Amino acid sequence: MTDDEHERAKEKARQLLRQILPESAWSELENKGVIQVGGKRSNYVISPYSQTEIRNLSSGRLVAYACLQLSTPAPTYDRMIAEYLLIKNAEDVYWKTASIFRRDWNELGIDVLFLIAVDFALFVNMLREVLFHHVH
Amino acid sequence: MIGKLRMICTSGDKLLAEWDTETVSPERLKEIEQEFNEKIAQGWFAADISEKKSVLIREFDPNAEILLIPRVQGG
Repeated sequence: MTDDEHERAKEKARQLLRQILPESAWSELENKGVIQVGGKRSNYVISPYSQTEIRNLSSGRLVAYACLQLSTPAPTYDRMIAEYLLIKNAEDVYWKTASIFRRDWNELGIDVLFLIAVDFALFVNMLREVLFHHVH
Repeated sequence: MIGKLRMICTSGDKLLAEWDTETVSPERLKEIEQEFNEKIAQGWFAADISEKKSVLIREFDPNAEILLIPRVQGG
């Protein structure tokens, strides 16, 4: 495929996405470069150039990334169409099909991370004491 | 009203069939429905994209603008 053909395909897919999306979602794509889709399980941020962000419904915190591909080569906007339609109509199928990379550490609050760090420091200290006692 | 059957492909999308819902012959509709069913059997999924409906469908709807989407997989 030549560069021209590639650009034509990309533009065609972009116009198809425009036809499918509600006006508000299209404006969001034009202005912010992403579309946000609300599901029953999570909120999703679909981008043409990166993996889809899965965000907590209430806090909006990033909990995972999702990666979904079409089985045939197609412009990135076509992949966005597939993701949009699946999330909107069959969210559970989306979760079963896409590769989901959880970001569990992001879900831990700073207080929990602090406690983990303190616990680790205490453990190292205890280990040091035991070894020191053993040697002497 | 115009019905359409489109499919996503390397070049964006391709129009497989277009018909006037008032005048299309039953034979022609049967052919289009068969094409639709073959894709669904191959694992493609379909959506009615007329008037921004954007709903997934399993059965051929002669009054819809249908988009066929290839199988999807985790990346």
